[in-house]
Amino acid sequence: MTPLSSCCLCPELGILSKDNERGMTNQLRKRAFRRCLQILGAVTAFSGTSACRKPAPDEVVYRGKSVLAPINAQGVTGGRATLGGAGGSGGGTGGTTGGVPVGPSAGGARGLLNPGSGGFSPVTSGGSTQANGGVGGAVPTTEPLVPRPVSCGTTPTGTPFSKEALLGSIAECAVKAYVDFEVSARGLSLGLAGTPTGSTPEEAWRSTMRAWQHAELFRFGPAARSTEPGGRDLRDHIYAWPLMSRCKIEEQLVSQVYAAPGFAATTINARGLGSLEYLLFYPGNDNSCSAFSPINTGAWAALAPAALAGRKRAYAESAAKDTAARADSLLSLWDPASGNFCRELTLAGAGSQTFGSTQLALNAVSDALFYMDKEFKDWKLGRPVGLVECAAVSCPEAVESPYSGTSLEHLRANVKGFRKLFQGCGEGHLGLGFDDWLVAVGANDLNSRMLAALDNLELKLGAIQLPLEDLVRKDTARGQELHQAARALTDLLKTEFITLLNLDLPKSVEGDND
Amino acid sequence: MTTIDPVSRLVTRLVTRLVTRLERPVDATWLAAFRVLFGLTLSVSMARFIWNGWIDTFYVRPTFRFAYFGFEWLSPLSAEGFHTLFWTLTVLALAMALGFLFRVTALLFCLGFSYLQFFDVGAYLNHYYLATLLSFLLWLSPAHRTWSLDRYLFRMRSPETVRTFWLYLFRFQLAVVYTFAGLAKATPDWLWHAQPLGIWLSSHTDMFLLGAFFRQPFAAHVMSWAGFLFDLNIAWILMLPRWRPWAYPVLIFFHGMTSVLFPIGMFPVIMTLGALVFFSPAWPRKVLNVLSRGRIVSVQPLPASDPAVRGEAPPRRVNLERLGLGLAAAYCLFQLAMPLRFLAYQGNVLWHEQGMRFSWRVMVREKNGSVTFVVREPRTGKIWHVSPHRYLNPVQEREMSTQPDLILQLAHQIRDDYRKLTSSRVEVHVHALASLNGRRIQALIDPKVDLATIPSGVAPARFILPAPIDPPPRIRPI
Repeated sequence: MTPLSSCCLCPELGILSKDNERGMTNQLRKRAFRRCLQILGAVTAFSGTSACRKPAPDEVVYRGKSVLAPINAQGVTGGRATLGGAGGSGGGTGGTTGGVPVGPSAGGARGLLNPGSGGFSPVTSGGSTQANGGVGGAVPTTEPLVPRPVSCGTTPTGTPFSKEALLGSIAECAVKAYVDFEVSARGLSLGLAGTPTGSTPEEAWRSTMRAWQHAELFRFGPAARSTEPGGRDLRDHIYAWPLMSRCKIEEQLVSQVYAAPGFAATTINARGLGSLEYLLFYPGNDNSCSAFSPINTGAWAALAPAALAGRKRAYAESAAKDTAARADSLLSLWDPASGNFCRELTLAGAGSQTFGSTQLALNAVSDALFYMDKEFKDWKLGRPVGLVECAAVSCPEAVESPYSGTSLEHLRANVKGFRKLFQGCGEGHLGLGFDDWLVAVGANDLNSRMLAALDNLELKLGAIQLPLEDLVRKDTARGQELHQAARALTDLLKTEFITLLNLDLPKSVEGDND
Repeated sequence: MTTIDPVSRLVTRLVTRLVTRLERPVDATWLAAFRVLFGLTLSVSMARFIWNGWIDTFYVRPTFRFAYFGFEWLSPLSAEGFHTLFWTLTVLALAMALGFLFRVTALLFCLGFSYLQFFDVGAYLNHYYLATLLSFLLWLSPAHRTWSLDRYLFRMRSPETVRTFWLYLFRFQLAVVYTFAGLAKATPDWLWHAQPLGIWLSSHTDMFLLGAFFRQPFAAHVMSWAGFLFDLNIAWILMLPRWRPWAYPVLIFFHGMTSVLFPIGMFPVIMTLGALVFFSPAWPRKVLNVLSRGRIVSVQPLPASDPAVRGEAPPRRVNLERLGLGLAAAYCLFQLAMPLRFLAYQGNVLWHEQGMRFSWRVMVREKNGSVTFVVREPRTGKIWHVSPHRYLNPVQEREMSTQPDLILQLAHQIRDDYRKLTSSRVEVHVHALASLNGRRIQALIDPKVDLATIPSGVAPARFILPAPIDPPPRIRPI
């Protein structure tokens, strides 16, 4: 007998059991259970048996032409997603089965998407859905996806500095970044599932990636490695770079693992946003595997270009669903209404199970700033500009996003993310950030130098017009200047910054000292 | 006719009196108690490595090790070897505590623990060094003479006394640690600017009760002076019987505080228990006698026939005794010279770190560095930037980034690797910046020097740039 926890209609219970193992709260378990019931209710409603139930206020998010059915996605911890089905280009056939994918392969998103007049117009009433036919022949139009209303609270502008207030501000900032990412990832998933979203999948990927590159800097809490306080490895599930394997993706294109139920459990180097880049942007029909790879004994060659393109599309759809589900999980784990990592961070030293003191929490957060050292400076910049692990004058092939040509855009987004974490998320960076801490302890000089280094880096990045791979080919010296600008910032970060705030370098606190 | 110089006569008389005093037997229970407490502490210390997974972190996983000058020949064990060693040391420390096959177990523990110390400079800690020295002294001493399994199993008939000389040797060792730790704090940074304590205390302002005190602007100064005066004087005060009952609670409070505030592992425990050697040699017997009067435990007092009770010196084996005293004197001189060797190097030892190790400079600096090696192949002009994290784990990287001799060692490894890679000569320069006690960063190593050509050694290092002269910043506690 299939246990309920593994039931495709209620994957939350699967997560629930994992959460239970990790000591999650009863509140979270109850909430997850309630959501499962909601999902089951929604499915029942979908079949028309509970059409009269009055929707709970938070279920009715969309108030446009149509109110959409809740769905659940594989691995998503919430289940109130409502979306329109795939809009038809011709006359919508409508019908009760149209446009609302429910089940194990359903899109992993929540929120709203107006299917537009070109498709069907599913109508939900108390959880029931009737997908009506759209207006045949009309051009599909869309409305923007609605972000999930998750917040860690608001720190009023002008709040005097305290470590507790700083943690509150950082929590708000992180949640904002994850909300932006989640809604983008949901859009990408929906778009690939065939729902009109107003943008091509490639555009949606760029937008999602931009949002993620902001959020990359907030790698603490559930996004961090499971070896870190509160870590759930979600960053690596969403974007495993630099652990990407093109060959692995190509092998999976042949094996079609992406269509199997266990896809979400496959290795991270062939899932997430990195795999999507290859699947969406790489136009070639070749593969990068060695001649000894099983796919090069005939299986790959047997794939016709059209079949390969179809598989890439299907793979991308699965990968996008998985990514959207992870985005949703990440947000849910922060959500005060479910995982509530907001509380864990903001109540550090005052009831938090994760952080015994504010200093420990600030250490975990400050570790995230060091993304600028290894990932940004050494890997994203140092390798392409030829300074790090590159035998030639430059290594343009080592850029972060070689297929989409968006590597420079990622760098800019990373710097913006860093600035948000360092200076605060408010308008004009007025919110509390580490800069306020430096000022509060009297390190104004260091603060000014760090901001100057950050400005200089941003200025240099902004002045580049070429894609990064072209820049390093044509003007390696300028690329190396960029690397030097990054180093000026990380030198301060690794020395004076951590010294004056008595923070620990990432992973350097193990063992004794004297 | 030969006339004896009065000064020589005085010296001879003083030495004779000293030797006689050092040879006088005292109750051996102080040494037995030290053996038990030290053995148990070290056993716990080894077990912490096993429990916390530190064997893999510090000994198995690192792919690069920093060797002590002259100890490059020490090779690493396999993963199983390290795990076995730690388990063995845990058991040996317990056996030592019990006084079981003491001469063998103490020697094996001392050798095994010393291997761990001298195998990797990156793992150097003052209190591990102290534990190495104490385990060495313990092995040499007759610590199994009383309250040991050996005495019971082998029906040892020797008196339950040891020579005073052992008592003074252990007291000397601990006094050296405290006194040099105090002298190391006699710097403007520590005493006038209250750094690095000001930086450290700023992260404990949310601490229960004490947090409010740490938020006061004068707290770091008060704590700095208190630490300085404590370290400098505590050993000497503990030698005064009248002051001892007051000084020891202060010592417990001091080490308790350091244990709460700083991640210094077993150091406070070792020092708190070790300082018991300053008490009267018979303190364990007295304590247990008090307890036995409460019917908790019964202890036989020292037999009336014991030389210590009769106040007689035991039969003398002059040559052996004199040799032992001579070696002990040499050991003491070595212990005094090692912490002072920094005087042979000019400049600020906290900056250039030459003479820093083995000198009891415990928790006297907050220093962080940023290091990038710049490899240049002269033949082609090609330049590589090599981050230390390619070779080191984060703990090793933090240690290396502020210690010039370790930077030099890694530079040599990088030189060898890139020489193989390019099949030609390479230059290795380093972009090394450091911040001492919160000061503005400045270059630690001359970036123009090709470290590939600089040999390792103990001679003054010319590639280290002068220390900063500006005062450290004042940190406002939040």
